[in-house]
Amino acid sequence: MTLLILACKSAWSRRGALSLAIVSIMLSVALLLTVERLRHAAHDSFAASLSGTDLVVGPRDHPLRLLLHAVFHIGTPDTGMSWDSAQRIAADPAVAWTIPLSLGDSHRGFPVVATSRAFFAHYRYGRAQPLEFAVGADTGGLFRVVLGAEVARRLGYRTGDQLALSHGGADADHHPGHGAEHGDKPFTVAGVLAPTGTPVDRALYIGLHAMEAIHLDWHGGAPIPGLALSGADLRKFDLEPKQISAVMVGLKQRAAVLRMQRNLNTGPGEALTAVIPAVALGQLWDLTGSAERVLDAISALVLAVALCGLAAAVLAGLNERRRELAILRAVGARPLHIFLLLVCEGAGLTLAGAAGGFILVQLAAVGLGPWALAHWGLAFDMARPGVSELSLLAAVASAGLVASVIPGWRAYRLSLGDGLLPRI
Amino acid sequence: MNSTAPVTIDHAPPHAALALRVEGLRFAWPGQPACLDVPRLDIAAGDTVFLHGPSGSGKSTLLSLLAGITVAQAGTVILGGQDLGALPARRRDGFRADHIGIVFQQFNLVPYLSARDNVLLPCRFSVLRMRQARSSGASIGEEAARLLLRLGVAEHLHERPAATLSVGEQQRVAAARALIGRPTLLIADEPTSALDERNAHDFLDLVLSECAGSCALLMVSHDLRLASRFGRSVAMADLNHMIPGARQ
Repeated sequence: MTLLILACKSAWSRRGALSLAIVSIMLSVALLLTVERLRHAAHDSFAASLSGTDLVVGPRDHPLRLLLHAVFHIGTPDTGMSWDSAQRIAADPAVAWTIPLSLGDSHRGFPVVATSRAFFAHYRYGRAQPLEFAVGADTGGLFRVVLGAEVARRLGYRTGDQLALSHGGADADHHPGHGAEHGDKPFTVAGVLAPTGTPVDRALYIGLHAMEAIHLDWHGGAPIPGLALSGADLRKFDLEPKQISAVMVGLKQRAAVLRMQRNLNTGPGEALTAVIPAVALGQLWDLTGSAERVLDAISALVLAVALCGLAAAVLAGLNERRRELAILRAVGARPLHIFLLLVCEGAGLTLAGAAGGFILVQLAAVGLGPWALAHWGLAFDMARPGVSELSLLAAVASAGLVASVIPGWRAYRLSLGDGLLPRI
Repeated sequence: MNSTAPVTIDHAPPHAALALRVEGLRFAWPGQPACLDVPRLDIAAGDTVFLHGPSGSGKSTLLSLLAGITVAQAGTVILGGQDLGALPARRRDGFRADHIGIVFQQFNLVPYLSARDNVLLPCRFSVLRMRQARSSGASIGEEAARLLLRLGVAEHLHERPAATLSVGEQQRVAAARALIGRPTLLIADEPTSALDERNAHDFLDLVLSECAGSCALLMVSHDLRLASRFGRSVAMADLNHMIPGARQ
């Protein structure tokens, strides 16, 4: 107890020099925790994007590529799957529901997803939460569009507004020469979804028939000259899609998923790929794992540098404190006391730095969390530091303890050698 | 050299209890020739001894040995009946805390502690000193305040950080710290050399009167004018046979 008070008072008297060491530990702990939290937030937000979907089925492709395209709207696949295959899957007795998805168009940088009403009924995210409308509803007309929360917010649309879709992917907007507009067939905003923190927020939803309709008078990625169909003409055509991008499948019995996947992957007819979302995400983490390990290594190095700085700061102060330590020896302190005094100081500084870093991250997360959710779709869970974070902090504290042994040992040797009067 | 028949320079009455007895003490710093050879030094309880000698005569080394911080290669140091050399290192540290008060030439105090906390330090490391400080029925804080006032440190200075006190005030605080809890032996190493003459005399008066009857005082100084205030005076040259030209 006495030693702790002495260590505190001594450190306080040298607070100027020591605060720098604390700040550097604080920042490196904050870096370490931020990397850890970003990783978790990224994993969680990917995992939370899809819930309750047992299989994602698409054309023969790399499973990860299919998943990234169908669920996260990342990348552009070369081919699609036939509508017949999609219907065959939907008709399978083991299948409870399917959500067909057709991608390819965009609106001002946001992907347009053509789907059926099953999307609003069966899509689940997070902890099996259903989609909800913030405004309006899925009214079901041909040229009706439902907006993700972020699309509506960023572009300032309300229900009843009209908008034109662009042909091609999201980057078409940045090349005005390439970006052809479906300006002749404007869509009316029927509703806006409530925010989900998933890619759903960043997309526009139209019906599969509407997708067919706006491409009727197109061929090879460009409008057919002289052929411009009006809305009324369109109804005469068969608007059943020929091809779609992918199908999300919900099974009646979860246990059937592996058999179903094997059947789809190896079955006769069109070459398909069926993906179990969690398995494909696992492959994604395997891919990004080495980059994460590099980040971890860098943060660990930064922390090591900060702890060396701490040991150096305590060591540098030691020479000026030889007198003080000799006085303590003279009034009865044992060399072990001197050792513990220095170790207490180093460990205390590390703990202060670790606590400061944790508070810093916590404050930043509370302050910047909504912003990160809005801009990156990263959801920081503030309520509880995870087990991995606590064990990180424990590792930092023990590393600090080890680093403080160096000045402690040096002080121990000095106090043995100095006797009553240090020869400075 | 005849170290088997020690020269007795002890004039204390033989029946008085001994605070300190040194016998056949020889010491050399590592890798150096022997610098200290003290055949005998006895200090009776309550005795006041003035030890003088030029620098380099081994005074500081002797004090280190008496305090049990350094251990001699040969000979014994018996403090309050306990042979220091027979104790393991950690017990020796505890024994020093219990029985010895030390005042240095200057920079005696832990700079970031208040005057009162500096005085209380020995009670933090020694249960015996704490118990004895309480023996008057007061708390150790009250005892510290009493000693500080006795030594002329005004009450408004008690809570001041030691680093902000004048040199004279610091020496008085150091003396109060050395005296709290009635140690067996008070060792003072040139405690007045940083003080002017008047301050030095006042300081000595206070220390001697506070010591009187309760603890033995061994003070080292080169200022022979102070010698008359002590019960007896010993020259390093008489004590340490390693000094060139020392009396055999």
